[in-house]
Amino acid sequence: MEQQLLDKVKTYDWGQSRAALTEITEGIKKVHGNKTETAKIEKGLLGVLGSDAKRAGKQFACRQLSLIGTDASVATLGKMLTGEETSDMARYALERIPGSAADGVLLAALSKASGKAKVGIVNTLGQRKCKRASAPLTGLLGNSDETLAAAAAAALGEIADTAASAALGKAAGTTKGKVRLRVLDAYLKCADVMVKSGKKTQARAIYLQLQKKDMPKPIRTAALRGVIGSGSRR
Amino acid sequence: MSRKKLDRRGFLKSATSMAAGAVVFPYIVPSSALGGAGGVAASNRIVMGSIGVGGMGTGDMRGFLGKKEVQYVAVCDVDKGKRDGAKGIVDKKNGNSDCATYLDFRELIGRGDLDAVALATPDHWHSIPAIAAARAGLDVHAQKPFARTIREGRAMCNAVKRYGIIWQTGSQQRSEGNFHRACELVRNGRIGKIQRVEVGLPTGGGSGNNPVQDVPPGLDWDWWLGPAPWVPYRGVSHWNWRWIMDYSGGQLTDWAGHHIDIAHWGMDTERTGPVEIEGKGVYPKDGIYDAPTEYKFTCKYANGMVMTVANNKQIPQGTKWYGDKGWVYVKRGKLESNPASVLNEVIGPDEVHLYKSRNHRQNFLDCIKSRKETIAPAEIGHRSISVGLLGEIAMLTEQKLKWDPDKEVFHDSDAANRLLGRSMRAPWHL
Repeated sequence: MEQQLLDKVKTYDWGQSRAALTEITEGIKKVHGNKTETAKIEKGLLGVLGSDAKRAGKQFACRQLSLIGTDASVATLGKMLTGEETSDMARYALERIPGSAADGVLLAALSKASGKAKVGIVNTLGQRKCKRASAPLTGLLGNSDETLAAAAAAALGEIADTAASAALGKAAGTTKGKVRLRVLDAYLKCADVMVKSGKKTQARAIYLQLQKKDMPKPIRTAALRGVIGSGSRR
Repeated sequence: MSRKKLDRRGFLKSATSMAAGAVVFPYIVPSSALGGAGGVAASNRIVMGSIGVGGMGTGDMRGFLGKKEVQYVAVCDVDKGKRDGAKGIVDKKNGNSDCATYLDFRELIGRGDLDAVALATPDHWHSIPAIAAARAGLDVHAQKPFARTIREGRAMCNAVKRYGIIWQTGSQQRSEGNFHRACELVRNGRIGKIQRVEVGLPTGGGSGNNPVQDVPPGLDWDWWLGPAPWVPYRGVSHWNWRWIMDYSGGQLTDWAGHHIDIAHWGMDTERTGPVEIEGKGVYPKDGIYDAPTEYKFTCKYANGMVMTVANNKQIPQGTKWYGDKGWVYVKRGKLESNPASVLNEVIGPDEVHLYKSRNHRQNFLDCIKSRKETIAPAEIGHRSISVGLLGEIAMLTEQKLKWDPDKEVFHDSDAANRLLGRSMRAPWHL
C-alpha cells in the first residue's frame, strides 16, 4: 500500500473526495490471503490512528481494521475505547477481531470507561460472548444507571454461560423498573441456550421460575412456550 | 369514557369493573363499542401504532387505518414533521386529536395498550425496535428487507419465536395472485425438475458528494443514526439513505425481499439458504453513496439448484425458474411460461397448495386474531434477505464462499464471517 494513499486518509474529512479511501479498500481485497501484505496495510492503518488524522479518517481506518485487524491492532484500538469520539469506532473494529487479546483490552477498558463508552464496551463484550466478562458484568446489573444495567443484562444473555445464568437468576428476583424486563429476557435466553445444549432440566427450572404470576405477561408466555418446547411438563 | 379508553384491552378490563359498579350506576355503552352500525366490537379491535412514518410507513399506516378492526392510537418518528403529519392523518380518521406522538420508539412500545405495531424505519433501524416489540408481546408488521445483517436477522427470528408473536414481513407479492400461481406451478412440477433460477432486481443507486450541512429543523439526527456509526448530516435522511451501506444495501437488499423471496417460495427453500455464493458488484468509487449500482452473484443450493441474482440490466426484472420441461417467469403484472400451456394447468386436490392470501395487510390482522402464522413469517423473511446479504458479502470480499445455512456461518472465510454482523453505536444493542 502506497504511503501516499495513507497520507490522504490522514487529511480526509467528510464531504471530501473519498477516491483514495476506495483505492485502499480495493487494495485490501486484492491481498486477501497474503498475510505479509495484509500486515503491511494493517500497520499503515494503525499509523493513521496514531496520527492527528480527523475523526473521519480514523473512522475509516477502524472500518478497514474490522476486516483485516489482528492481535497487532488491539493495543492501539484499546487505547481509544475510553474516548468520547473514538470509543464507538474502536469497538467497530474490535468487535470483529477474533481472539482473546481483543477481549483483554475490552475488559481492561471496562473499569476505566464511563457513560456511553462504558455501555458500548459492555455491548461488545456481549456480542463477542466473552465468558471472562461474566463476573464484571454481573457487578453492573444493579448499577443505578439503568442504561448500563440493562446493557449488562443483555450482554449476560448473549454470553449465557453458567455464571451469567446464575447472575441473571439472582437479579430476576430483585431487579425493578425498566431493567427488569431486560433481565428476564436475558434469563430466558440462557434457558433457550441450555435447551439447545441438551440441559433441559436446568432450562425447565428457569422456565418454571419465569412462569410465576408476578412475571410480566410476555415473559410468562415465553416461559410457557419454553416448557412446551423443551418437552418438559409441570 | 373517552373513545381512547375504549381500546381492546382497556374495554375488557373496564367491563370487569363495570359489572360490579352497574348495580349502583347505570352505564351506557356506545353501540360502536359493541360493533353496531358496521363497526367492530371493542373486544375484537386491534390497537396499533406505527414506528417510522416516512413515505412507506405512512402508506402502511393508511392501509391499516382503512381496516375496520384497526384502531390507531400512536405514531413514532425521529422527524417531527413526519410524526405530526402522521398524527394528523390518524386524528382525521378517528375524529379526535388523541393520537399520541413519540420520538422514542421505546415509549410507544411501553404504552401498554397496543396489540401490534407497524415498523417502517430505514433498514439499520429494523432489528432493535422489532425485538423490543417482541419482548413486549406485540405483534409486528415490518417492512422488508427483514434486517440489515444476518446476525440481526437471526436475533429477530429468535425473539419472534421466543415470545410467540405474530410477524408479517412487508413482502406483499406473496399476497398477489400471479406470484402465488407461479410458485404453485413450479412446486407441483409443471416445468419438471428445477435446474436453475434467475432473479432480476432494479439497477442503480445514488450519485453525488453532498457537503456537511445543518440538520433540518425537526429532524433528530442522533436518533436517525441510532446504531449506525456517527457521521455528520449531509442531506441524506429520507429515501436516499438506501444507497449508503451503513443503512442499507441499495437496490439489491431493497428488492431481495420481493423477487428472491418469490424464488425461494417456488424452490421450496424458504427456510434454508444456499451453500455456495460468489459474485461481483460495481460500487461508486467516490461520493457519499457506496451501495452497489450493478451486481451479479450466483448461489448454489444443497440439492444442486443454482440461483443467479443480478440487476435488471443483466437479468430481466422478476423471477424465472428453469425446469427440465420448461420455464415459468413472473414479475409484477406478468406471468409467462414455456410451454404456454403450463399456465392452463389445474392444481389437483392432492397436490401442493401454497398458503393463500389475497390481501397482505388483512392477512396480518386475521393472523393476529387466529394466532396462525402469516403468509410472510419472520424465518422466511430472514432467509430471503439472507440471500441478498450473502451476495453482498461475496461481492465485498470477492471470494467464493461456502455457507452453512443451518449454523449460519461461512466454512472457509474469516473475512466473510466478520461481515455477518456489525458493532452498534452506543448505547444501542439488541
